[in-house]
Amino acid sequence: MNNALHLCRATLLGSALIVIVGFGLKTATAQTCSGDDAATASFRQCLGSSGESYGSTCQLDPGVHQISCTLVIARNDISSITGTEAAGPADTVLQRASSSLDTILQDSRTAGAVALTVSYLTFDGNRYGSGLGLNCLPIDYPNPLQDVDFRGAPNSVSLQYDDFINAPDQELLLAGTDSTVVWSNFSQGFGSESAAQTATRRTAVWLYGNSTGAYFNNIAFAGNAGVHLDASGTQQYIYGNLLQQNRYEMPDGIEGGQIYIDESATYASVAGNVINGNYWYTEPGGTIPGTGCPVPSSEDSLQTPGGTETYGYGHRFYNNEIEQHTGWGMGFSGSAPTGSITISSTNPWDSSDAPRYIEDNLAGGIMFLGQSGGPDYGAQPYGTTDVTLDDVLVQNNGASGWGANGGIWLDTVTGPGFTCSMCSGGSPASAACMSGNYTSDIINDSGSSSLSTPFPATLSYYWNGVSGACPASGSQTPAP
Amino acid sequence: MLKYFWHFTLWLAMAVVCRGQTAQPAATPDELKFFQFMLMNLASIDHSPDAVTSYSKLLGRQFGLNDTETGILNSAAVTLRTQLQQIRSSTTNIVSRNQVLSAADRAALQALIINRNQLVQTLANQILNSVRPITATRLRMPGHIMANILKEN
Repeated sequence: MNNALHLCRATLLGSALIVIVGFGLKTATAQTCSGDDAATASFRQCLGSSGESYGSTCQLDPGVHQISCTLVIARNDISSITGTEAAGPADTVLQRASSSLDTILQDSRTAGAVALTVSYLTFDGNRYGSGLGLNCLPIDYPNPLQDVDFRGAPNSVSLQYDDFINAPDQELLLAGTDSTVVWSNFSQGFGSESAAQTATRRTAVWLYGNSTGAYFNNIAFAGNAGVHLDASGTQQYIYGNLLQQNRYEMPDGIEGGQIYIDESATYASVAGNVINGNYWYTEPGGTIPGTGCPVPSSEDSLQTPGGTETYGYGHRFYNNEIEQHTGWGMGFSGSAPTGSITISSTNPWDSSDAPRYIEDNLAGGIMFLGQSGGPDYGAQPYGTTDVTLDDVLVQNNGASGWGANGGIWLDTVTGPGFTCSMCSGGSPASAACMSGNYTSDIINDSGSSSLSTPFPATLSYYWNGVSGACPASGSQTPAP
Repeated sequence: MLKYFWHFTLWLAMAVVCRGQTAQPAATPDELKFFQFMLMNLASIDHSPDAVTSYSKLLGRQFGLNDTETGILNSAAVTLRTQLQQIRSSTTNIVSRNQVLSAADRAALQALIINRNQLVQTLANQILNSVRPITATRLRMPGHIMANILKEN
């Protein structure tokens, strides 16, 4: 465990003090920015290449600090960058200044840098700032504008207890093998602003590279995905997050998923998340109420976001609650090759986890798009191979006037199909809890799919093979 | 007066739920990291009320909370919120005195943080001893999972 986490532990126990760097006492030797207040100027120097004398921790004093020029992390020996948070996220705020079109914080360290923790800071993208004209950037805005940019991270970075609000474009871009964003909030309101008013225009968390992950965050009102796994990603994790009403603005005019997995990403694990759509949709010619931005003119029909949108190979989905979307709960394939997909109601990391459903999604529960086409889409170039559905919990999806795609829609799908890894002694071989889906629990589109076990042997087995009624929605049934 | 009412409500709920229940081990430092995030969000004086309400609702889904347990968490949050409001007042006074903080100012801020964390620790242990054992186990898990992940990195 790195030093910063030791510090966090110590403060929780109330048994140690964080070493506070004496900002304001040093002489500028490297980076300067004319818009800095005294605390920010010292913080900038600490981050800079000549800041060795500040030590391994750069701490920013409380206040709303206007950032006119990017804060560049240039020193390889910094292990902790932290704000000073006593009462809440309003204590230490880095706000894009009204004259700035720059990234707020950027990693420019080099190979050999130590692992870094970034904590207790609120990043305010200031999308409503006067004079910037940033509030409603079009999707083809020529100068991508991220608030926090760790694409250049040469080692693992862990963002913890940070807040992100008002991003005019992308919020957090995170690379670096094993990097994590943990226990952080995205667009949860601020002062007099509602949660929707602090929306991120585009993506909240964009994860690159190997083994990066988003864990136990609270992510809402991103215009595109709440979490996007990049094409470069492999073995990434999206675990234990609460995602609500992302795909809020849809500046591209295209519906999609609150979680998006790129076609070139491989072996992602999506587990234990609660993904709630709050029945959100946009209409052509409409206005987004939270931000006042118009629905893009390219939008030619009702856009109904879903829970997950997945392409590529080897992805695993374990015990996620995916609910209340006007689109489908989970969507796979269609426009890009996709295969080796597992959807399970087990959680390999937590046997005590509460049971969760794919439920109450108006367009359908789990959608495998393919070459036959369906009522909501035309024939697609790709189906999905090697699909495993392990004791899935799918209920009350689809609705008249919204979607007749059932609980699980299978278009050009192959693989084992229904199984039950938790059924004791391998009996029954397959199981699921499915009911109330419109117009059917399972639909094999035009007979296009060929699964080893096309229908579950029983709909009444769950949680370690204990026979009986399926767990109640609302997840109040404890695991045995 | 309202503050004492909420204290009473919290303790009453705990007394009802705890009856006949084995005492839970104290929250570990790893477990407290999640409790800090959860309670600071539920008690937030900076997030909007709609966000706090949504967070509370989704927590129910995440941990399989029943109504009594949701009430216990929210009562704990009321207690913490009172302290956060006091801390904010103190912080504002400290920061407004000087553009550059003195060592004494920073020590005063650190003392506030330590006091807050002590209250979080107290509330976490009260919660663990008030909810069902399965819920206590679930609330401990985020800290364990992250400890394992971050130690591997």
